[in-house]
Amino acid sequence: MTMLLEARDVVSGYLNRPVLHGVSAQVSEGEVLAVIGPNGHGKTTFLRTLSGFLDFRSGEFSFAGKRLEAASVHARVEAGLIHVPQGDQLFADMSVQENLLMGAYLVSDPTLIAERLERVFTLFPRLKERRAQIASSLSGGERRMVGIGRGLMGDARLLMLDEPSLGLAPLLIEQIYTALAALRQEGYSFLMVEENPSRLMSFADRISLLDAGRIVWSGTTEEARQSKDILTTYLGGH
Amino acid sequence: MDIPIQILVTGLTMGSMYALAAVGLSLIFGTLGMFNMAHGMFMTVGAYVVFSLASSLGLPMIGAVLVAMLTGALVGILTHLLIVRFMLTGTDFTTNVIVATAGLAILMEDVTLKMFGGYPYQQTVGVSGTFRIGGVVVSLQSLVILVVAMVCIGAVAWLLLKTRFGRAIRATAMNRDAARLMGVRTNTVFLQVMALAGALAGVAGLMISTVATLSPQMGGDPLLKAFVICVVAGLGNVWGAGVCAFGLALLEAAIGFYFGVRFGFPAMLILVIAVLIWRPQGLFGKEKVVRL
Amino acid sequence: MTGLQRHLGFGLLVVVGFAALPLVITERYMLGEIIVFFIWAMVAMNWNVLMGHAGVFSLAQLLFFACGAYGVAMSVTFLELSVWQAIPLAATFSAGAALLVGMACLRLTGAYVALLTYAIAATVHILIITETECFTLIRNNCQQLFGGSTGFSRFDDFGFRPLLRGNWVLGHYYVVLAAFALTIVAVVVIIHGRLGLAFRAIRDNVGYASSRGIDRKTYQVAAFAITAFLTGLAGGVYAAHFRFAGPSLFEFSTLMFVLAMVVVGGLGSTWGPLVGTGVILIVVEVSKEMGDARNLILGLALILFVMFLPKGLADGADRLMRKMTGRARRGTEEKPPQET
Repeated sequence: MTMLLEARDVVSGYLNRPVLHGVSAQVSEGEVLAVIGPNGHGKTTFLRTLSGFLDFRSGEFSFAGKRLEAASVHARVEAGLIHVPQGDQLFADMSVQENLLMGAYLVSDPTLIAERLERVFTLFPRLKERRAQIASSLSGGERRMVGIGRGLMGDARLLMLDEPSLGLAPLLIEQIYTALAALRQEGYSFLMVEENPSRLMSFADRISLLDAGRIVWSGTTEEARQSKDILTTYLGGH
Repeated sequence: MDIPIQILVTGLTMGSMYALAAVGLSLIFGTLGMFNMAHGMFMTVGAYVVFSLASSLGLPMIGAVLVAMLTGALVGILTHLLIVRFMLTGTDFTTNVIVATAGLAILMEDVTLKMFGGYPYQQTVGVSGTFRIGGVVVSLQSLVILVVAMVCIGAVAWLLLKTRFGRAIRATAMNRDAARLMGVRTNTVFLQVMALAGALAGVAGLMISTVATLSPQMGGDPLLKAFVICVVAGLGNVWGAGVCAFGLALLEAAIGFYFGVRFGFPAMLILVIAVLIWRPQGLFGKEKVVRL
Repeated sequence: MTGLQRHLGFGLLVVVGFAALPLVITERYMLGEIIVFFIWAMVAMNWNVLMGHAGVFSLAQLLFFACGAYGVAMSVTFLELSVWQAIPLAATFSAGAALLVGMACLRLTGAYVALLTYAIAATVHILIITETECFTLIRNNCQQLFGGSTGFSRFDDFGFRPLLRGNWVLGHYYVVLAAFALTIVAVVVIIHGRLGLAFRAIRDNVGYASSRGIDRKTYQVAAFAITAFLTGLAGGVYAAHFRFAGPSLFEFSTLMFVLAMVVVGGLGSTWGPLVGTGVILIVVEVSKEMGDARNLILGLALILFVMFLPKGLADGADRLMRKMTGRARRGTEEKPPQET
């Protein structure tokens, strides 16, 4: 397996408040890495740093063979690193279809765009019915679908998902993860962040535990299952 | 029957000019979160450049419109590149940029005054002639203004709603971070918006100068009205700004006709304040924009 | 010593210093210039309270200044009051006008307030300069009710001329200084007293402040009216000193003139506007000699300061001091003024 994403000793944070104190992560082609950990300990900051919203104070970051730690957000998207942010961040006054088309902003081939649109609609048939509806009037589950679907419209090689189950009912979480599993079959790689790890155990290949801005444990999902005490300590057990 | 027609003609002519100014102002606010106090000077410069080119070379109406657009766009681009760009990420951007663009306005006004003097020149381009609707004499220039405004605003609407370029602008206005995550270069979008709004302002200035005269302060009055229109519509609401421009211009024309021109705008302002007490977010605005 | 006492003490020093100045400076021209400084400093300090502390971006400050000036001019001209009666009346009128404007505009925040206050001030300006109908005849000249485009001039002033003869300007000097001193006390008490604390709470977290009973709108309207009273007072003494009130007092370039004082001095500071007023007055004076570049310089100053030194000279000096005295003193420098 070739390495797709490699971040090493990432230090970053906000103006007067460093959040990450040297975080490393690797994702191979077709692999799923889940970063879990308590709230407010840097998971979202990590993703925002990788997607270019926050500067690297130090550390290295390469994606698909390119060094990206100093690249613009635009360049990272162009390289195929797609960030599906927490809380969906849809374009509230645009229709579902327009939101999806924004996801294909850097794609210029119209037939490719049409194909991908169809694929999103196959994955989430509900969106097809609601394609003309304004995003702000959608339900929470539908918004999540648009958020993920929008991420699939570009030339994604790896999807960074920030809490895809956040605020959803169990049934909807199930639906979202079924769709993610289908995408995995298609060969997408994932770097995901979750607070609630229960659903991840059957989805992720590897798990990293991020606490107070540092990775405190890393291993395969199998290892995580065996060393349950670690997960229990950090996450109150599940 | 003639009085309503007269009011309608005056209102539509003024509304066209206000709409050109207000749509650009609103577009800038919606996308950059910036209130452009120099927008009036964008208009003035457009009018003066056409004036100087037309008096030396002669320009047909369509050429004049293009020159005004280019000039306005250039001024918008320069404003962004030289000033706004550096302030965008700073704290208190909203208030600081008002101060900076107000400074730019007075600076540009002074430069215009020094270059052209205060003499109220007559704009050299424009069509002459009149026609009648019922008993009302309408100048052809009014019709030209209406047509030009409609074409420009129609073109902007098409651009914003139907093109990839426009979608990127709207996306940036709605959610700047999310737009960047889609690969939109928001800094380029800001520049494009300043150019687009500047072009509209340039045309507005040209149109105003064809029915009034040129003076360094000529942009002040339409800017004031465009402000009020934008506030009524809800800041950043481009469609609302277009609609309100015509609505308020018709109202101003009616009040002006019955009570005297001096009171047209003050009455409009009082109405606006009443509207805002009732709906602080503007007629078309969203609740969250202004509260807290 | 509390921050309030410290700043009041400094204010006292400033006032005493200016009171003693006529011992050294006796030329009428220079004293006149210092009077001008007092007047604009009053306007600038109040504007800074409103914009830098209360968080109200008002562009109607010069309208309230004009309210004071017109109030004096009109009551002296039409009601035949003396300026001594007219000044408090005009300042109160100014506060009343601000109360109305404030109640109408301060439901909104931020840029909306700036726009509406600007629109209101500009509208009054337009209404006044387009007024042509004569109200009465004065010295066989048409006198409009609000003075039209020329305004009011040559009405009675403080009345020091028969009393002090050649030294009448000293009378003016001390009257305006008294108004200036009153402004300093009021401004310091607002910024470093309970009102300032409330403003800080509102700035930090408006939701939390309101849950503790600090309602943004009430406090901002209060600040609006108080500062308008003092700004109106400045307008009143301006009119009484120059025997003039006209639309040029609140045209756009005057607005920028005073805004430049506030911004250059330092928004959000206590004493910055005093420095800013001095600097801008000197710069404008110098610019007169190099061809009239006043507006050009004001515009440039506004742009450059907002871009590179948005907290003005006050902050710039502060940072320079900090750099020179090293980081060790940082703690004391940054201590909030209400450390009681």
